[in-house]
Amino acid sequence: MENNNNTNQQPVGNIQPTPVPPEIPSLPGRKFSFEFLKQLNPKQKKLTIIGGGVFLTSVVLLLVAAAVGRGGEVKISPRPTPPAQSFAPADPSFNPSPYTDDPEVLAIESKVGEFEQSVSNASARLQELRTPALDWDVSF
Amino acid sequence: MLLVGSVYAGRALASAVDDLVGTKFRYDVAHSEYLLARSQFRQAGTLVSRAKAQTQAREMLEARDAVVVAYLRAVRERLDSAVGVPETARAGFNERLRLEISWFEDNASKLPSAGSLEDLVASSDGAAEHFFSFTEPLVFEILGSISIGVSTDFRMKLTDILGSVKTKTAEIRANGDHETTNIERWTVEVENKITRSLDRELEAQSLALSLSSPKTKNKANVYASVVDRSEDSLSLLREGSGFLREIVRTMRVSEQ
Repeated sequence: MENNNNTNQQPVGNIQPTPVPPEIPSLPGRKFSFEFLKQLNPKQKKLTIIGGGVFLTSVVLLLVAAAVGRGGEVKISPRPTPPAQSFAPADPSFNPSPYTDDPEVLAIESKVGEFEQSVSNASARLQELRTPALDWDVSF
Repeated sequence: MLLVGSVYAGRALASAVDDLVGTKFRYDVAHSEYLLARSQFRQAGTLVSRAKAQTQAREMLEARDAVVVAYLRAVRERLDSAVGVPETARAGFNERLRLEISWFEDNASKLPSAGSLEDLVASSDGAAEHFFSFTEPLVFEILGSISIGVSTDFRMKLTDILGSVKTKTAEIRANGDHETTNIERWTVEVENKITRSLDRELEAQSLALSLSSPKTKNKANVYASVVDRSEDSLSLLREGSGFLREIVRTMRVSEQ
């Protein structure tokens, strides 16, 4: 009986036990772990993984959408551009004549441009008005 | 004002073509039912099947006349929006179209009074003869004139631009400050293209005239030739506009 009691008593004498720091329980949420997956059955595990995948994809899509949205709002300050010229303004071999900016020549050029565009789209074939196919041979 | 007229004409044509499509659909349904009733009458030969065949034939013939009327109205709208067709020719075509529309509307109104299958067959034969003798040639004449008119309109526009080019070239030559030899050469090329385009147009007009002749048998082929000539004429005008572009470039660039 005495021996049994002694086993539960604190050690006495000169020997000082090394102080053991108290064990601090890990706080939930501080360190992410996939340990909880082990507690799930295969079906729950699969559903959890799929759900996580969908969530992550949604987040990525939202981030991309936000980035694109911001991109659309970017305003570029307008740069002054030289007036449009009809042909080869940067061509080093371009040698202007006395009539390069002549209003009448420019008017002719404009008319020629309009004519070319309209004549290239024109057709003499009237596809929309073909004679409808009808049965003219009625007999019994 | 011209633009508003053009937009209105475009809408009127689209509406007429839509009406034609709907009318043709109703005809196709009536025609299918007529074929079925005729087949049943030929097999059974009973009074009931005969009455059914007569009803379906009458409905099909009414629908056929309606298609012709809708088609002629669409052609009339297309003619209204056409360019390059002389006003006298346009007025004549419109009057003839009015008469054709009236003929088929009148024919459709007489169909309910047909008392037998034989009456319906006779009515159908009469309508067919009228269509191929008067209506179809008229339509080919009108469509041919519209095709030629497209070429005529562009040729006149190109001639007008060439007139401006010639005036400016004369001014440049008089000033003596810019070489005009190449400009004059290209001008002659454009004139040649316009002349050849006019030749094609005259050929098309000559063929179109033969469309109104009863001696011309295959009018569809003749009409196709009219369209081909008009297309050739347009192609030459397109080539001419390429030379005009070269003329403008030559005016604006110094060769020295």
